[in-house]
Amino acid sequence: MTDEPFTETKPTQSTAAEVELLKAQGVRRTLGKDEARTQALRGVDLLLKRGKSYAITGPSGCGKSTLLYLLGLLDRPDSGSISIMGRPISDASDTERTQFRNQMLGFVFQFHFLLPEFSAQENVMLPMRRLGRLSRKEMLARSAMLMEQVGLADKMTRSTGHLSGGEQQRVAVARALANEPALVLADEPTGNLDERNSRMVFELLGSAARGTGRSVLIVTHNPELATRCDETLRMRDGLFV
Amino acid sequence: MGLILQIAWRFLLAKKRAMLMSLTGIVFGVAFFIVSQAQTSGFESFFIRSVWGTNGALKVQDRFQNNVASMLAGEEQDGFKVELKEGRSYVEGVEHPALIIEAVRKFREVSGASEVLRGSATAKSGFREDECEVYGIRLSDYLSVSNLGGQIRYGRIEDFDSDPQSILVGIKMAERLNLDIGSTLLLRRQNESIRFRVKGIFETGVEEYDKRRVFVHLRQARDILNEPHKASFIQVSLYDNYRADKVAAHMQEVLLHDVRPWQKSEKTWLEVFSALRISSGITMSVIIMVAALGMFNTLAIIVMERRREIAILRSMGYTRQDVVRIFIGQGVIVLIAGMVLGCALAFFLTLGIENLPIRIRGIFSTDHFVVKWSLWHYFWACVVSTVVVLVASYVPARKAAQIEPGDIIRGAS
Ligand SMILES: Nc1ncnc2c1ncn2[C@@H]1O[C@H](COP(=O)(O)OP(=O)(O)OP(=O)(O)O)[C@@H](O)[C@H]1O
Ligand SMILES: [Mg+2]
Repeated sequence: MTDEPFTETKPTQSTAAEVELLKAQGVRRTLGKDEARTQALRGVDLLLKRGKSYAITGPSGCGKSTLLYLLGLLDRPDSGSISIMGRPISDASDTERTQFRNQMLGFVFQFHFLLPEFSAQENVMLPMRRLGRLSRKEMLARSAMLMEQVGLADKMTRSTGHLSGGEQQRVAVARALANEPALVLADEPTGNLDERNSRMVFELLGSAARGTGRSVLIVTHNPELATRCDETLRMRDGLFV
Repeated sequence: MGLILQIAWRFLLAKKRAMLMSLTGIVFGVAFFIVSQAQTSGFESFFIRSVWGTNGALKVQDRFQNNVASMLAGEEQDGFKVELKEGRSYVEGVEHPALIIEAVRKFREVSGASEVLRGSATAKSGFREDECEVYGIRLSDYLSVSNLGGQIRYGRIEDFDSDPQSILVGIKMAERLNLDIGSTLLLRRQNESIRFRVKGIFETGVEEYDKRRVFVHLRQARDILNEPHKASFIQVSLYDNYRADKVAAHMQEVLLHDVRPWQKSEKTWLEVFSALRISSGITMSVIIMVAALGMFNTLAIIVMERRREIAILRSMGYTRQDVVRIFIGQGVIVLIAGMVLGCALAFFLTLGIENLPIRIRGIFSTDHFVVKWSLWHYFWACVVSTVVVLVASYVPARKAAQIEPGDIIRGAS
């Protein structure tokens, strides 16, 4: 599956501009203060193409999550640049970055972060309603379709507190796909799940990329799951190796 | 906005108990604010109406002369005007009441004018004698500038009108001198004395008047007080008594008589009432503030507890503005509920209080609580609670908006 291992990270290799989705250059990030001060990223270069799935692996503490938050516009790099679809976004305004997250990005974290007061379907609709592009009827239809895709058609109206961990994570996947993002970022999405649920969530994320032009980037410790992605990127000490 | 309010509402519901406490505080704060204003301003305007009913809106009294040699040296067009300097000399009373009344009536604002001759005399009943203050009046005129008719507690004002030898006495004097309707009362001053028959007993509620004041026909008063032409003052009522101070200032310059509006003669009491009203307003605002402090606290806790949800909302594309609105929205929901319920509670409390018995004499007379119905009380209660609640929810809302989603998500995973 990894036909061109590691080479994608080198910007010189980017040939066709229309397939480039995300480009990071020389990204550095230091976390913590004083004694806790850590150089989590030491000048990372990365290029993601459209319609591909990527796995990032590496030992604990090597900076995988830090990189993911930067690529997901949840954090800002100390230096270096990130652009999405050719648009430099690392120095953009908070408003613009927020809008970008809403329209272009979907997140799945290790913890599902669902809103417990809302039903599963309502949670899936939260990004859509913020975007406001669809009518209420269309949103209901789309969220129902997504819930069906993740195999929870019969539990749409259930409050998320009454779903199992695996089910909750599947709702989170459906929510990440709500606005048809160009890029889905997942940070150990299966970290808390058993074998069967892990496979299921992974399948869902993988199929989200296949044939849709959408890219998926998954941080995982599970080497077996990583191999199911189009490419596996290995990190160590704040750099790709 | 519906989406934001929906999220706000769900967050609120998860903290039902704490929010109900704040809501209760705001409801009571708003209600008490309104009720206390209804009461204090009720008593205030009742006092003012009592004053009008007894002393009219203004009194034209002592004539004065400006001791400045030249009064007006030219018209204003010449850009030359001599100021009226202070130094004035007064001549007691109104020397030509008929002329002055005619002049007073020319003012558009005036609805009635009545001359009054006032002087002290000794009142003697079969029981005891006492000092009194004789008011000589022309009844029909006087009724147009006072509420004497409404202040009669015993007897009939018509009986007074039909008999030149009749007298009206205050309720306190009637008690002291043991007077009843039909009793005779002798008024004496120097060597003049006239016998009167009590035809009515009135109560103004003002202790001093109810103890001393007696009303007789003007002609009789002239005899006793030995004052054939003069009037002591002209009592005047206006269509809009609240304009008395302005009208008085104008009249004073035209009539060259001292003119005292009620705002001036009752200044002390009016100040007491407005101080009461303001201080109760402040006290009730403090209740609202305490309730809002509770809400501030609850919202701050919600912000702490909801950091993950806020972070995930932000990651989904909810802006800082949205987060501010979600938290202000929670405040606004409680605020609106508090205002609606508070105003409703105030309405019913005011209704109830209006019928609560209380006996007050001294500066006015009432046997039950007096309230004033005014939408302004409701308006100001809502303004105060809105400002206070918005401030109380803005601070936690700002705090929530400052949450960096990356920090929270990093910390959680
Ligand atoms: N708030 C922080 N303050 C200081 N250092 C931090 C902070 N958060 C993370 N780090 C450090 O930054 C480095 C990178 O952390 P990061 O979370 O990106 O690692 P990771 O690759 O995701 O690890 P894991 O696989 O365990 O999730 C680590 O050395 C970590 O100790
Ligand atoms: Mg991590």
